[in-house]
Amino acid sequence: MIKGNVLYDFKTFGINVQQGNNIRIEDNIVISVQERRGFAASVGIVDKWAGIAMCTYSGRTACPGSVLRNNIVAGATYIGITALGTNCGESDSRLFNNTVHSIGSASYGYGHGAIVVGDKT
Amino acid sequence: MEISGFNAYKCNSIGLTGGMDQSWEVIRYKNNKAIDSVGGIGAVMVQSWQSDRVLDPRIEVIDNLFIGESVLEDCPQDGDGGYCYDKSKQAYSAMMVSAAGNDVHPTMVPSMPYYEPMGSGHWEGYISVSNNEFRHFASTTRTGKRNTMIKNHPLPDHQQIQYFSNNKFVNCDQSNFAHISAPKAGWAGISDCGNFPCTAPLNVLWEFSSNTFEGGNKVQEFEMTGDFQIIANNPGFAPFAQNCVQMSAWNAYICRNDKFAQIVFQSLDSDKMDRSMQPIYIQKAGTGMNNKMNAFMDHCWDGFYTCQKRLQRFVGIMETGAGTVTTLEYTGTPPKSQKFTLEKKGELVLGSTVRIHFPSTAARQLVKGG
Repeated sequence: MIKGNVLYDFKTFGINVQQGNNIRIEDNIVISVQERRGFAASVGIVDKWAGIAMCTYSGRTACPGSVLRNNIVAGATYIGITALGTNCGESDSRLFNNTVHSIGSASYGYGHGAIVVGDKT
Repeated sequence: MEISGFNAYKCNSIGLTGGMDQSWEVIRYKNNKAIDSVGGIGAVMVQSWQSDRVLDPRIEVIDNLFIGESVLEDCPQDGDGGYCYDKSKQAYSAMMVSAAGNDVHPTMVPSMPYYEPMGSGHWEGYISVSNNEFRHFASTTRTGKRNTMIKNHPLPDHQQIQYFSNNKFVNCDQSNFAHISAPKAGWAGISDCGNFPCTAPLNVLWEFSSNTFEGGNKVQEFEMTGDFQIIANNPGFAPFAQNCVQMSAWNAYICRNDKFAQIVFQSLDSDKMDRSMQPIYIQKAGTGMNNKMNAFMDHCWDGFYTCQKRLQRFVGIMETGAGTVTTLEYTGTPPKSQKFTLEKKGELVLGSTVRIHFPSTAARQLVKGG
């Protein structure tokens, strides 16, 4: 469980869950997640970015029982939150009241608030 | 899959999107809030390549709240305030069901946003936008850019019909109620759509029913009550459609005409990715309609070049009705085997007699339902 934290001024990710069971991310505030300066320029390779990434870092991953509730991401690069969608009607228990705010990318112009993908399980 | 419980505020391309990672039968965006973002909710999903009617893909956008610009400025002190995001905005981005999508986390410099489809448009898709509320949308942003409630994301192949019902519009300026972007000029070229841009944005059809408007429902002399339609500013179709009013600011027409539908057809021959038939024209007898359609875009890459393979599938808006006769005018030789559907949901039974001029005399077999 990652609960009740304030994460400020991180590079590339605020919270990055790669894989796991029954992971709960609740009541966190993630502020200012920025690009690594100078990394991208020459060869066109870029970092992966998100304020909170829930089981999407290596493609869609199995993360049964994951919960994402009451988090705030303010000021992140490219993506505020990635999350796993739920079965219809089950959202309130797993995805609830997450706020994404001021998402952009200084270098590339795109700012996706939240991207939701399917749970591989 | 359900996507719910998000509040997206001041996002620089899209507030909320998803569902481009596998073949879902239904994606439901429910109980989200999109506030003052460049794009609020962009509904898009991916179905497997050419899965014609194997599934019945549906996108449902229901019970969401869209709110216009907040008091926080996007470009304070005329750009001297430390940041400036001066872009047009839309609450709902009408998108599509596509055959392939992007990675969530790109590892190369992203040349397009996540929600840009990477494959051909799916044959069908039912996209409903219902029971949502739109509040406080002015006609322009504070910096004078377009501020639209409903806008298409200009996609090349097939923008499925979108059905808007029981939505509530509160204190919204209807002069920028909707906007339909034209095809991108850059699509014209051998690597994408050939001699002229792909034509999906010209064949957009949005159906509205039972929506309510508090604070004004009139645009020009058109009252947005009951059932109405919004179609693209397609010079080969819209000026000839019945009961339509041109909305120049929207690049569209608003109509009271329940006879619109999309005809979708494609070659089933073995050379359906190689032999071009475009353009094909839809002509309605007795009118000046001459809707020019392009085949789908070349979405395939082979090293540094595109594959020179374009699916010979065509989508066009047409006006149906008892006794109507519609000619499909091919500029190439029609394929030996083709499949046709008329896309439109609802109780109304639509139809039209379709004529095709074949260059040879041969027996043709028509099979209903495949």
